[in-house]
Amino acid sequence: MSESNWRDQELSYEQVLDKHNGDISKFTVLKIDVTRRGYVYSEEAAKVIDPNKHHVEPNDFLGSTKTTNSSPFPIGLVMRDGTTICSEPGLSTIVRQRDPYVIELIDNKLYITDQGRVYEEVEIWERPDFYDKVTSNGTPMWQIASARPQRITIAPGTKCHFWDKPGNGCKFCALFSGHRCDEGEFRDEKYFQDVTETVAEALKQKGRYASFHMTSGSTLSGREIFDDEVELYIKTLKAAGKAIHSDKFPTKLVASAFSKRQLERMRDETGMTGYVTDLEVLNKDLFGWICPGKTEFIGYDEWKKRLYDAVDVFGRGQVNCGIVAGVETAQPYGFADEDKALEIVLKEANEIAKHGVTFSECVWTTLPKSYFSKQKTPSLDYYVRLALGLAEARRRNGIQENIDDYRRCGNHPNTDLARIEKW
Amino acid sequence: MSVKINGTLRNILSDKSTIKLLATLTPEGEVHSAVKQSIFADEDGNIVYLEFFEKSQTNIDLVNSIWFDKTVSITAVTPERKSWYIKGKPVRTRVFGKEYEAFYRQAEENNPNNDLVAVYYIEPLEIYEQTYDVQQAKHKEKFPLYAHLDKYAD
Repeated sequence: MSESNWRDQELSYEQVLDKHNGDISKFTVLKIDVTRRGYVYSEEAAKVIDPNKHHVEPNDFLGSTKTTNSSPFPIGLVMRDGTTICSEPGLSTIVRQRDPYVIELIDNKLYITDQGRVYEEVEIWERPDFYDKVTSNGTPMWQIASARPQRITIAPGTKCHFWDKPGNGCKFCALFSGHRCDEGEFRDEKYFQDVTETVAEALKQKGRYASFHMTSGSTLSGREIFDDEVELYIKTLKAAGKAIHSDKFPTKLVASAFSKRQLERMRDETGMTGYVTDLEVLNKDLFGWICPGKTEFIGYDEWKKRLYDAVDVFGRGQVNCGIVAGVETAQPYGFADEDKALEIVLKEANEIAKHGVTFSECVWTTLPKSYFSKQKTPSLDYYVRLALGLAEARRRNGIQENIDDYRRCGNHPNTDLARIEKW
Repeated sequence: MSVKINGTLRNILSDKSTIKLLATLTPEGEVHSAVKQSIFADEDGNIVYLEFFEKSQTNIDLVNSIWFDKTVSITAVTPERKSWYIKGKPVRTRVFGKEYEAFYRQAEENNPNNDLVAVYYIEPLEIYEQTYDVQQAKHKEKFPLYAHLDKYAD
């Protein structure tokens, strides 16, 4: 249920656009707000959804928020400038404090609306062609890979072992929550063969994929912490590489904070070219509270150092730090004052960017299965100022956004802004 | 107010020997222009432009135009030196999806090295022929007293 007077307490979409007139695209601002507030389909609009045509995820791909049955709704939208909204309506309405936007059907087109005001036309992401195919082992390919409109994603590990110790998972996170209590999935040679065949099949859809993306939960085991995770990624990426036939190709690995030795292995043994590891919140004290598992096993300062080491291995612009934008305002230990939060976070962002690291900003939403499910997220104006500040940190330090932009991911407002930056 | 490309101009735009120049505004407000042979008109009378470079100035400018409601202009010049001016507003880009993929495959058939990054749809707002003789006649008719005196003496 939303708070009845929430609109009186913060600037609206129009007011935020007026305030930042000319500084930020209206599409980026709308994307942030739709993600922040969530959205629903009207009854008429929902009739347009066709699971044979639109990208309705057949399974619980990242073990995130769904339990038994998949959501019947598509997993994303695109606006007429190509900006994507990486969010599905099934997550929107129960625990958020603000009214969701409504997707309405008007003259046979879908539009984002709010209180009867019509904002922008949207279209639903299309289903990947390979979703209907089966590997030679009989595995449905949708069980092997998922997709965004322009990237193919493989998640070889379906469990995050920070959750092994109760309360040690990141407090905002619901990914892999469906697998918190099991052993994850066993990956044998049959699996890697399935990966090769699935990627090869996906690439038959010419023009669809501009990036290969891989992610999993953290695996802490091995001679050195994360060694087993590294091994799994190497095997998976090698299997995918067999279908791509290139020594190096556009890749983005979103993973734990690997040591320099582990990163050099990834670089030398696979086609990997881009690496993202997530500090989540750009403040050491809050990192300790919000990410207790990461703090126990690696720590904030060491995580940062590993980001810098990664720049040595992969180069400037090839390493991003994922952050859950806005989680620094979580209570009771986060910043209650948005101006103070911005000052602290952007100061730290600038320091990190000096080392050649840029940022992948996810809009914090209070997912139902996360520890923070009942928190209140910041205002739209906060998110916009943060996106602008993060983009400025990148520009000021001369870093190109190479691996996590609107095309290769589509989930990050600050990297969407790089579309109009000259190289 | 939008206008539509007629059949004659559509044929001119689809003729490979026609030179097409796309002028845009950069995010910094400077003018940029480039020869873009991948401009054509669709059946609905709108302009379609195929972009092949992610970080070309034109691509940057067209995104900026959609974001901030800027216009662009196209100049088409035939081998006979006839020329047309089209002012337009970029209203949509497709960077993925079945419609985009059809253009992607077609571009690859034309040249295996082509790697399409975006399809732009530009709504024409104003069209006129810019050919010298035509413009001279129009100008004379509209501004009959704007000529040097020796021209009247001829």
